[in-house]
Amino acid sequence: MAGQQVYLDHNATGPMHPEVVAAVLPYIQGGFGNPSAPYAIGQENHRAVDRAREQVAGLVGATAGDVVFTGGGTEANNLAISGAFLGRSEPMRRHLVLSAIEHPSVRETCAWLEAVHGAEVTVVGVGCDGRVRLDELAAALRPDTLLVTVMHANNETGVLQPVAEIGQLLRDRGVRFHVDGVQAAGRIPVDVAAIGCQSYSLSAHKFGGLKGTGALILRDPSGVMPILQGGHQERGWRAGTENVPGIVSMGAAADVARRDLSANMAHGLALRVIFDNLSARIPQCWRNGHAGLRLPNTTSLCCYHADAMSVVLALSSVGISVGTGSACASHSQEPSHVLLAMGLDEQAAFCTIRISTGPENTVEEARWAADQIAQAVERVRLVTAPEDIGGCGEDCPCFAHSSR
Amino acid sequence: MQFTLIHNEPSCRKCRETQAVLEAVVAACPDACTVRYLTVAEAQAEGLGVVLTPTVLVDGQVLCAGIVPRQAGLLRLVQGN
Repeated sequence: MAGQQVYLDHNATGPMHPEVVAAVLPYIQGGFGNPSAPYAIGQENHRAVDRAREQVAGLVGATAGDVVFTGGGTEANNLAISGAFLGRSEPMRRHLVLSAIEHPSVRETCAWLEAVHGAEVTVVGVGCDGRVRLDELAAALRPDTLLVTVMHANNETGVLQPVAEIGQLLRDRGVRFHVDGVQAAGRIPVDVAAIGCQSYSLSAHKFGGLKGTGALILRDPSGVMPILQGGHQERGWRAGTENVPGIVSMGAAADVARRDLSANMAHGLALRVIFDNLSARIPQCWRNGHAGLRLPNTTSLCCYHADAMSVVLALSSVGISVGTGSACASHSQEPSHVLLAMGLDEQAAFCTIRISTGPENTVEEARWAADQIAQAVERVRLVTAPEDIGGCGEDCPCFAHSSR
Repeated sequence: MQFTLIHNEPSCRKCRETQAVLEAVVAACPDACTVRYLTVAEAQAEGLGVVLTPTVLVDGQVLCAGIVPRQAGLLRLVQGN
């Protein structure tokens, strides 16, 4: 395997499926029309967007009319949460509930609504297995609760959240339920009707599509207002000319993911056990999160006293890409809020790597990468003083790209 | 064995401490290892992706980044035990 690139960070992003590339090329090479235009090339693009709408709906058990294409999962989460808060018909309902392990696009949107628009926010904790505490969530509900938002699968640990149980809990209470499904869609079976949520977010590049495209499954739009102004695209829900290549990629990727779902899940589990077993091979090493209720492709591994950034960069220099906690936080030395919420101390959080496989990874690659991880951890531990891990101050110029 | 230290210019505390550690290791085992220094810009010019400083490479592969390596550990690496 030496000299090859082994990519194991699919929760950050992944390659486009070859069938998706083939589907997109006509819309890049010549079929560039604006879907809003009345002439032929415009209407062909309009039909392509509608086809993709059907395909994406089919992936998650929705109807095509529920699908609002966005500029990614982050925008979908913003629309679901800000749109519901700013468009609410009852001004006194201003209470938002979220879990402690949400993605920044959820956490910071709620914080912004609290700081700028008078929302009141309650954060619900998780157990040491990384699952939201249902009793705590139920106790957090108030008569003025407008919306509960909980992710379907966590990006760092892969742990699946009890979204169907939460949907059941909220049913008939008049509380909106938003699910960030960015990591789940295309990787596990999703049925938004069975979950009982009012909205569900997806991101194309997490399941073989292009970056810069997402969707909000808006099953119940009542009391939701658009957050972008300046156009009537997406039936008024999302202003701006549609990103047709991205949308076509998302539709094609949804079809491929739906078709290959069972095979991909079985393959993912076969690879996951190789990385899970590192917790037995490496001393002072454990796997974070629930053993079984987890995405088939994700292993979060704490190798205590082995600085994760050093391990990740050491692996990178032999051609292996793995993540340190959340990809969105990889240019800062903040400990992962997800791991801290699960009860890990800061050093354990700084010593955690995330391995997330994709359909193109092979068993041979996984075995080789697991051996390389074990060796990298051993070498990093040899030269690491525990007190040094994660010890950068705010004024430290350690980050070579800190100007970004 | 060749160590490479990729450091900021001007150096931060960790880079200076790492330089001192590496010089001590080379002084202890002058026949077994050498060290060279690259600024971030020089490393990037050589095609080395640098995220954190100090970054220490051993024979072209990253050993650690963002931390000051322990002298005792480096000596064990050099001495092969």
